[in-house]
Amino acid sequence: MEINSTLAVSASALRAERMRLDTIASNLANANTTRTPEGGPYKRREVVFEAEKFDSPFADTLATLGDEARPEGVAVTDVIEDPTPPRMVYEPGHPDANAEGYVAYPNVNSMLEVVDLMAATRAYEANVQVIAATKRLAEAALSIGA
Amino acid sequence: MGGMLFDPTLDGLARALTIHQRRHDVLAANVANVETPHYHARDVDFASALKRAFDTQTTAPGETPGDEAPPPALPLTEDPDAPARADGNTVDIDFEMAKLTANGTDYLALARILGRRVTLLRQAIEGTR
Repeated sequence: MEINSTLAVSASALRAERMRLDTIASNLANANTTRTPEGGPYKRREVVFEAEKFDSPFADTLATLGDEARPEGVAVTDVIEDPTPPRMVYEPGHPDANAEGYVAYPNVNSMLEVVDLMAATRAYEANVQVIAATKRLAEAALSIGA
Repeated sequence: MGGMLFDPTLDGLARALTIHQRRHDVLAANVANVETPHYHARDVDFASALKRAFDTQTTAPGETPGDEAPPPALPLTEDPDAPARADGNTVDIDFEMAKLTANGTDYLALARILGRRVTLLRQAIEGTR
């Protein structure tokens, strides 16, 4: 039984979704940040998920089952910056306004972020459910003949 | 395994449990990759997996169980008609959770039956008290 590797797969998803939540939190927190160390306004960040073949303590046994049969976890392979242009708002009094009086605000759309936040939360919850189910199966297996 | 003590039912139940466990593994990976672009949902065809487990793993009479061949490759299936989202992902979270629950319930049922059979065996050994 590969209870541990099943849990590891679900755990990798929890980690990935939490990282997505972190990114969304950062985007929302910086929705109005006009100055960054790199210069210019904050740029919206996005995580990139990639399926990842999982190495478990049972990897040798699993190898006999063929590469295809190995469960795939999730890895955050990259955090990219959204290349869409900043939101230009006419605020001549703002210290970061350009010559025409426009201020470059981050390309963060709060509504989009909140929708993403909900999707990430639901995906996280789904994986928590899977972990609970895995635990139930393991408990049933352990109590055979008890 | 042979003889009167360990009837083939125990062996069959154990193999079915193993396949349910592997299927749980595959379905868990689908849920884990619900937001992964270009990931294709996979499944295990329980019936054909069980058939393969019996075809290749049955030990011939006179053979010791330790000489068994390695477990056969798990027949993973992908639904080619599954609707893909815009990011190329074919995981339907509701469907996967439903399958996960059904598979888990089957597992629990088999585990309970296996447990009962072991209890029966023990009662036969110890006698009723």
